[in-house]
Amino acid sequence: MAIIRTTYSSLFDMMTRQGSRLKSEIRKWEEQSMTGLKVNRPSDAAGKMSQINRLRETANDQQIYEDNAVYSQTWLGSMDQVLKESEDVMVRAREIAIQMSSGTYNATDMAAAAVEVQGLQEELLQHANANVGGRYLFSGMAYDTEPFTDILGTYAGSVALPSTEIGDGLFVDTALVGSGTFGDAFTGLDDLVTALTAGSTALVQTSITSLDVGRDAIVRDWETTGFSYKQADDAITAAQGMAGFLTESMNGFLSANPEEAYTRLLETRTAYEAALQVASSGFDVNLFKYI
Amino acid sequence: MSLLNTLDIGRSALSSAGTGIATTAHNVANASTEGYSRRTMESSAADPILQGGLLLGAGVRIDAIVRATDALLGVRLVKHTGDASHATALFESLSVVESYFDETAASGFSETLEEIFNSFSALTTDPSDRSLRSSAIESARVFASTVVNTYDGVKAVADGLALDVTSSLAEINVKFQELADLNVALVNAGSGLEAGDLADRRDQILQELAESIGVTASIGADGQATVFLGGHAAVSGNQARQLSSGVDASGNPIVLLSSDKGFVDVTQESGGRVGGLLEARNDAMGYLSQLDTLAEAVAAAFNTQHNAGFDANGNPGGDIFTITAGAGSAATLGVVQALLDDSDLLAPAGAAAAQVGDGDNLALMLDLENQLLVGGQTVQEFASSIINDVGTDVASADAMMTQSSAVLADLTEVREAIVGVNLDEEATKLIEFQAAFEAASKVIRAADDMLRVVMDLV
Repeated sequence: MAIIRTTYSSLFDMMTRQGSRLKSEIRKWEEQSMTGLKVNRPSDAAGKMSQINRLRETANDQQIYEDNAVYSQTWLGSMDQVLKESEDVMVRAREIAIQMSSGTYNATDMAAAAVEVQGLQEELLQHANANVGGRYLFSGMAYDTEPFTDILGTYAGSVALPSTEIGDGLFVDTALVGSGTFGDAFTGLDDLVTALTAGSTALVQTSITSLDVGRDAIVRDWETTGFSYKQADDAITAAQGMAGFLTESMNGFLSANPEEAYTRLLETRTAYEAALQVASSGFDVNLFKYI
Repeated sequence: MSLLNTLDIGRSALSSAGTGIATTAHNVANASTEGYSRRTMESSAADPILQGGLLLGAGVRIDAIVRATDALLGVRLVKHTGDASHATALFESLSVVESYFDETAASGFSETLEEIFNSFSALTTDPSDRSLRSSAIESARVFASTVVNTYDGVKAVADGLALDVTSSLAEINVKFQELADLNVALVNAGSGLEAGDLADRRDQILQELAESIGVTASIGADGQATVFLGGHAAVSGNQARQLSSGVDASGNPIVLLSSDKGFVDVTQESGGRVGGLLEARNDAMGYLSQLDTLAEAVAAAFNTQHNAGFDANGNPGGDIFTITAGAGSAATLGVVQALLDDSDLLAPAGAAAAQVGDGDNLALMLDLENQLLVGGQTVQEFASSIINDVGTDVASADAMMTQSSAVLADLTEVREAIVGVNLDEEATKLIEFQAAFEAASKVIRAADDMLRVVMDLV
């Protein structure tokens, strides 16, 4: 708009307006430079706050899922180790059973073998009652309760499983129901001890089947545990990847470009100083000074 | 023509130059007075005298002191002043409200709501862990406390805005009366510097009224202003109506204008700052209502699911949140004290046996995060939508303020170009009147000298 007459007041108004606008700009760039954020209040991202919040919530979720999965792996890793050692016990028991069922051993040999198998029973009991950080691995939900009270496999734990959230709606079991894992193994070992004590080659042969059932149950749960561990591993990888992606997306929304913010700040400051100088020189010059 | 006539002509010239200097001085003195319109002296040659068959000049006559004005521009200025003031008040008020929805610091209610789900999720690793149980309860407390703080803060702003409206009305009533008095004074003033000053003051008050409550006005031929609020005359001649505040059935502030038949509700017609304050308050009350909805939905969902679970003692879960339903419910949101005192009362278990690792009810509580519990949205989405609404409203008010302020600035600049005081012009006029004054003085001295010569002859 062309203004024909310029007055003292219009000069003053213009200076005030421009000064105020530039000051506001300076404040904006200062804030971005200091906070590193271009969104410092909801109105800075009008219409996008729902998206930003969704991204932030999902990113926060990933952190929790990752923490939970890492925590789960503490138990799952321990269970994996214990189950491997338990299988070793069953393998050794089977070797003894096969050896003693050959018909070449007398009652004294079998009695000596029975003593070794009783040792294996104690060892399996120890595994089945494994406790990590005060938490029994094979008591199901009742992981504060010792699952087995004797080598016969009398179970005192829970038949339900505790589970931990490692993804949106994705849960992983962090314990096993000991009766299902070790029950048959305890029975197999007990059958073998009974057969050896009786000095019966036939009963020893029969106990091999029982031992195999027990070993299979351990191996089955060992595989399940391995699968769960892998699930937790995948959850960690997914959470980390997702968190990285989400953080990058959020930065796109939220983070200020420091170079741009600082450059704009300098530009605006210069413009502000120039505006002040121009305005003050406008006030300086009038005819009254010359009459 | 006599020498005495020449003296008269000189006197009229002196008077004209003196008045011109006084007018210029008045302009210079008011160069930065808000609302001032520059004056110019209008003069013409005095009626000639017929003498000896000749028409002889009789000097100069001052016709009027004219006040520069543009009636149409004045009307537009009044309207746009109201619009700009409305947008500014709305933006400034909503900016204060917005500060209570600061989600960027990760401490807002949306963030703390998310933290409840996070801490419940962490609890799934070991539902019996006392520190995790306490942490989950604490997250609920922090959420409740954040909602209450947000509610209280926004409510205080909304109440403050209502008070602002009431106190503004008192000032507006004073201006209505002042304008009615000015109308009378303007009719009596005639022309001259004083009438111009009264007209300036009238226009200034109209601007102030537009700024305060967005009035419109018309100026009569006699200079009297009639002020309208919506379709209702608020000032007419020497009559000024009175504004007062009240509340409607919902407790919202309303603006009432006195009339012959009692009071008229002019809330919807109120613009300017009062209109901006009322709109900001309405927006703020809308946010509070949304907070109520959110608080009630979160409390109901968590309480219901928690009631279905079992605590560490094998007892059914009680409530997690306390809340009093209805308007203002968000301000009453809290966490059951017994739960804060004893984390064993948290009910993550799905069965009464309450085994340490039983987190079956926890899984169901976590599932609340994905359920559409409020208006077809999850509680998280609803919380985000409140923040989104606030941000959008503030940004929209900011844009409106920028746009209306720019229009007003342009109009003000045009007005200044028409009615403002240009010091260079005034300096030129001063030189002109000064020279005229000196010339008139010399004419008088010449006539005086000539009269003296004549007198010496006697």
